[in-house]
Amino acid sequence: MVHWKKGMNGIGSLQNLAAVLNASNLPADSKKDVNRVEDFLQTVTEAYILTAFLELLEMDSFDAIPAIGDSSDLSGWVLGVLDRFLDTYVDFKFEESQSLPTPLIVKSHRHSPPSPPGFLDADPTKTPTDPVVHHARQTLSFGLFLMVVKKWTRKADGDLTVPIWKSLTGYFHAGGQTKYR
Amino acid sequence: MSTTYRFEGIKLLSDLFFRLPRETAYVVRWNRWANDLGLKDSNKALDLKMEQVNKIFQMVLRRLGPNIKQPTILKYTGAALGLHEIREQFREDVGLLNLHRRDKGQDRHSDVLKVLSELLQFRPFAADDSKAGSKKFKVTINLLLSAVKRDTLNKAIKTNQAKQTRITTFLAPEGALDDVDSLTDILEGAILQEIDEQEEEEEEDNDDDDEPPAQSDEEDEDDGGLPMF
Repeated sequence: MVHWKKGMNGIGSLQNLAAVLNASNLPADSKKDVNRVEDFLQTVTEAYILTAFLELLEMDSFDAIPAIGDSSDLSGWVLGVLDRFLDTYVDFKFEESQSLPTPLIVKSHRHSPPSPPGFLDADPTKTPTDPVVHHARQTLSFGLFLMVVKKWTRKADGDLTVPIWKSLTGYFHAGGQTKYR
Repeated sequence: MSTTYRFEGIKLLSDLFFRLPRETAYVVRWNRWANDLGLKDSNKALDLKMEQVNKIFQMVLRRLGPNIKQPTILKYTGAALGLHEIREQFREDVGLLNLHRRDKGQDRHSDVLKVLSELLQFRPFAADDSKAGSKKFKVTINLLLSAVKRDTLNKAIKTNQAKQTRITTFLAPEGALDDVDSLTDILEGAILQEIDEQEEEEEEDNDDDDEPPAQSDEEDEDDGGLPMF
């Protein structure tokens, strides 16, 4: 999995979140136990979606009520919120994730090689400078993609095959796998 | 690199879109997926049910143990499916959770809310351009221990055990737990110092094996840090 490797335990990463939540049954590398990491990623994705919507609607807690402008055009409001969500939070760039800030200044530059350049050149206008935000967006979009893949395999949706395989090639490229390119 | 896969993919796509007639393309696209819901091509549901029944039979036979003989097998496999369904229905009616389920009785909604409570404090999507890395999760001891690389920590503990010395433990001074940031600073300094010392010892290729690694106590006390035991 792209976002669960052995060295990725910086601030804002999934392993950091797992350590905060005392999720001790998760392996250090996702290849050892994929199912547990996948379950954890599923719950985290739902939480990320909820946080994104709470920040988008400027709600303080989960029980708050969002401010709706016109109560007559509810469907238009919902569609507008979804458009804003997709514009601001979902980011399919297939990049290798940036180096997150380490909570302690452990000498990580000795052991870890520098990260390779991204698959697509990033726009300086759209991409944030904060790597934590970038990583959060990437995890959210990757989790959404995994949810689509689960739906595809479960409901046997044949129309989704070609777009999913198109986007999977990008992930294989970003992960350095040249077999299915 | 992999032109064969590309040609195969082009060939399959051309089959799907213009080479085959429309009905055959429909069959090719839809007929190769396991359909457990019984939708459009709905012949597969019974087969999948039979696979599940076979799994129940295998479970029963495995639990028979040394009593596997032909009459017992016939007896138990005949009764297995009915007993299983009765048991499932009973559990569902009473409100018990199925222990053979994958999630094993964990509540998914509470998990999501637990993660959400952490994320609302962390605010991962709020851009913080002023100071990169100033955001952090709610500081706990587990977070600190996870921040240190596990390999280096395990290595440190193993080397200490090999030399038959004390493993350094950290005790917080009075009032440090009230101000969490000071505690984290102290722990950061102590852990980093220990790692530095051990890396230096490794780089020296173990020239002085008999020297006890007791220098850290004095240095910590000079820095006004923690008493180490």
